[in-house]
Amino acid sequence: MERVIGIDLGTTNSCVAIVEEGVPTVIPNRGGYKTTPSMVAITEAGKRLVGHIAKRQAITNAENTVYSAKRLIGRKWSSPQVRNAVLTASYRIVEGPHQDVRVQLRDKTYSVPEISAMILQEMKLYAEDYLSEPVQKAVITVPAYFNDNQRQATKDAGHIAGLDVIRIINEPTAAALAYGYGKNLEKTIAVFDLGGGTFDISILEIGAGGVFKVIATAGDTFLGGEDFDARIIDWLVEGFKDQHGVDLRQDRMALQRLKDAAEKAKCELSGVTETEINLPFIISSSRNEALHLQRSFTRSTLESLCEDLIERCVEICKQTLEDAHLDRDEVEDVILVGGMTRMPRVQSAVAEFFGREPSKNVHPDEVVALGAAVQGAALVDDSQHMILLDVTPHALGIMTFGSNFEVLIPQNTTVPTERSKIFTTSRDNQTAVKILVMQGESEKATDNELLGEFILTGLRRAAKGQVEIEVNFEINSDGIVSVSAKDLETGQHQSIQVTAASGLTKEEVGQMMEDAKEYLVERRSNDEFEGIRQEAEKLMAEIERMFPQVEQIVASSDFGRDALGKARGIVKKTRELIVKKDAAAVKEQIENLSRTHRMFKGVVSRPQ
Amino acid sequence: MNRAPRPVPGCAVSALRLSPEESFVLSCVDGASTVDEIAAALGVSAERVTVTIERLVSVGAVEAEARPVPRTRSTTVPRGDPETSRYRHSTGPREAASAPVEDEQVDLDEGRRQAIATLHARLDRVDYYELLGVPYDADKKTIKRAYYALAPDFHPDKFFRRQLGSYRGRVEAIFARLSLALEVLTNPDRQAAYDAEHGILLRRARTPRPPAVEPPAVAPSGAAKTTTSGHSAPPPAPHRSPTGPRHADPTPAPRRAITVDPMPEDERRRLLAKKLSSRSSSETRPEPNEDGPSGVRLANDPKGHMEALKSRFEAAKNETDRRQLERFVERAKEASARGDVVAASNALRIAISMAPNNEELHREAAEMAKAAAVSMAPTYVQQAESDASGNRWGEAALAYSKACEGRPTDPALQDRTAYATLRAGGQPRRAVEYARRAVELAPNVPEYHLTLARAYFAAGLRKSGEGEIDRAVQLAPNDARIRDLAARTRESAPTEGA
Repeated sequence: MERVIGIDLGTTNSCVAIVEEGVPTVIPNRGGYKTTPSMVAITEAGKRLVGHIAKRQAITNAENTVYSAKRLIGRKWSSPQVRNAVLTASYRIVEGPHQDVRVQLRDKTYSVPEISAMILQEMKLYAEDYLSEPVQKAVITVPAYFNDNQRQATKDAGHIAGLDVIRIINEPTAAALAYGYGKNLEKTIAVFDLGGGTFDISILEIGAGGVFKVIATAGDTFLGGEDFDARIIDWLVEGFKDQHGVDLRQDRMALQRLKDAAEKAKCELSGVTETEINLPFIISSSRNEALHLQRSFTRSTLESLCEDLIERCVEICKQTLEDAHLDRDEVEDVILVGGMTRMPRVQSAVAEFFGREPSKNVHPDEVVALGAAVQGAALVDDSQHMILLDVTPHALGIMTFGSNFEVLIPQNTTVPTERSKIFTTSRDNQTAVKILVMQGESEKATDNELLGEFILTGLRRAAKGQVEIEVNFEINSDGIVSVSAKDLETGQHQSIQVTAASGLTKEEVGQMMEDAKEYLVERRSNDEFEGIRQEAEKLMAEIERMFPQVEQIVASSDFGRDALGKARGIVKKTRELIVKKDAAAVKEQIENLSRTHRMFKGVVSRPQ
Repeated sequence: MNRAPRPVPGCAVSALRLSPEESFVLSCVDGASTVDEIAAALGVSAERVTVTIERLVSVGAVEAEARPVPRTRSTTVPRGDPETSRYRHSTGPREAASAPVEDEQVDLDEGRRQAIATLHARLDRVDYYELLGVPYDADKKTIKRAYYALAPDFHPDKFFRRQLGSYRGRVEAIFARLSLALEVLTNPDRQAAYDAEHGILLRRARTPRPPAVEPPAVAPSGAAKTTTSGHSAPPPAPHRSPTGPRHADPTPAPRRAITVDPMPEDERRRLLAKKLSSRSSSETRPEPNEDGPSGVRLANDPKGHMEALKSRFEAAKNETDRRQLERFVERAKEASARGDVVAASNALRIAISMAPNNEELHREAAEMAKAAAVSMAPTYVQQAESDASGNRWGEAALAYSKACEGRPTDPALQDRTAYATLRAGGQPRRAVEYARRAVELAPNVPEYHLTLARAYFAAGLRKSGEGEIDRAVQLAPNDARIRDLAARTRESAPTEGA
């Protein structure tokens, strides 16, 4: 049976996991860390860096290092969130050909799914290293509040990375799966997920026999750790301006250093109540003297800076419980997910709101990936008795007369589902209706996301309100939305399958997939060469270490001098080949090197 | 009249301009009920049904002779009710879909296939309680448990990336229906609406026992499919009989056709058996007095045929009919004795249709109807409010007007009815009537005057409307809210009055 990996593609960190003999396990990256920064950079030499190494060079290469790509994925160029990101990001965000968002790194522009694909590809490689077998299938998580376009863009990223994305699931849901997996629980839980970029709250019911039913889910895709960081940066920048009259925002490198320092200080304040932010030589003044930033930062300052953000989270929780027709005390356990939930004020706000201490049983950084792995295993393995009944996070409906939004499938409806409603014409002698399929919560249709449209023609001429049209919405098990409209009199009908717009065409995704494959081949051969090179270097170092000793012993004989000359030749040639990066030739030389090495060893160990 | 007419598939019924009675008869034609059964269901004579059906045949809505067909009803369209989605698109006719497709290449074992096909075929025949296998008085927890035990087996993830062929659609349909059932039954408001719509309130009171596990063997005779007509003209359900939908029809009867079934199952069966046995001796029953509009409506029928029919049923006035009459009167007495005024009233109404000249019966029936209306009023109000909050104003207006019958002296209710009727549109005159009654009952409430004004405007009576607005303002000269409302009402004058 094929293995399925679970990937938590986070805003700031990503994590990959798999179920091994019934136990969900996080796969560490090459550095031994269980999470990998969701960062991608292109170096001056055009080399791609992903993860920790990208993060390490972010300050010196701020303009070519992408972070928080997830905040942009599947969004339109014109959306306010993108406008905001354009102003604040240290890398360049440009408009793509389909009103989508692209990122300019060095001389090339990349689509956001491509950037995410680079991270996914890296996670895939970690998994393959760990399992020593190729991995194809994956379950990827997204914030519960992602809309269809964002989900589709994430799927595209998976395809580009060469993954068969068998399912996209919601992060809080995944957390609940990991929490309840194999425990045979029967209770109602809330998952409070405050990550790097998004906030999600989900209420789930875990039923006997491994049934996980999502009752309600809500969130905010632009509320997360980065917003907390931004508050700290603002505070630092303003303070610095007051003190020195210099705006640090003008300097991208300074901004990147501030960002790092803010995040670090925030994390530290989860453990201690006071910390020092110290950034020497952050910028030069107009008189060319070096300025330093040094401020002490207390937990209570942080809390007052971010109080409204936490309040926003609590407000969403309140709304969600109301939507679920649940009282606070009906929630029997609260799980905290996401790095931001380490902040004491967040924990106390959650405890206050739900009237109970949150569960400490799950690891906030790893639980989502573990849950994704659990879902993957449950799908392909019949022996796993677990089933997830998920809901649609956004209401689906059509635009009606007066640009009202008429909901057909309400928010939090268990999928798959099908609903229909009857509509009538709004004008006399109307012979066609345009069905605008929309997604969102606003009563005003124009505030919601347009998913697709089609026209039903050939209606009978009649006074308004006389012709009846049945509109039918269906969400199937793959989450694909189909909409049909039918004139009940004539039986005329029209339908569409709503395909979410990720911002990329099929062809583009195909092309990007090819590019990614090429990179992978290149990278694989690089990896291979690197292995050979290291082996050769090791042998050469050994040989050179023994050289003087061997020379002393054998230099007296012609045979010995000959052998020494040959050994020198082999080492020299190998060095040349390494410079040429000729993997195959170096590999051949390894044979000669090890023979020489053996000989030297024999000479050295022979009793005198 | 031992034959079962059936509807012509795909007939655009709403274009036919049928009279209410014709619509009503048509709504009972399901290809399985015989004319007698329909007649019993509607509480009119078989002759009258026959005549109506002749007319329906002539316009192409009904086929006269039907082969014996399985007791499955084709689905029809609910109006504006999102809770009643069905799966016509995905599976086509239910009959076809429910037959297991044997030669299909499907990655499912035989047992599973059977289970899916059986349950799918039942979907439209059982109510939500029966679907989940819970008693009518089950609490939230029991309902949830039942769902958790059942639903996962029909979640498409259980068959992930398997070849399911036509079973995929069925699995999804089953799962979606189970989820809908849970959704409705665990939400107090929606459960109340569903219960009211499917007559479950009374059933719960009478038989809170768990429903039969096996599919109902005999579908109720004359179970209403749905009445079809525009929102502007709700059919005045003249003889809505006690044999309403028993197993709640998943094609839920439209809200306006709420009928609470007062007759216990076994009694109804007995009645049916009796009728069937007596069919030979009395094939037709007389229609003593025509009081419906059908006589006029059916004027284009061949005259000779009509007369032949008439003479036949007049000749056949007989004992069975009288016995039936007695039984209905008896039943009314029994029902009234155990306090079930609704059942009593229904029984009496049927009795009257059999003996329209019996004045005492009329008096009794009127009294009983009043009592029934009073006892039904809270349910109707509940129903109306749920409709109103769901923006189904047509249904709300009808339910309110029913409630008004039980509480003719409640001015707030009259006002509310007027408002709902206005929102539903189409019958401004009726709205005026209700609003006027509200004002008569409570002349000092400015809001009622404003509603009346609005109704006047809708009816094109501009002057009267403006007069009412003035009166409202006079009643509360210092109330800013009223002034504001008055201004807004006035704004509506040109458009609504146009």
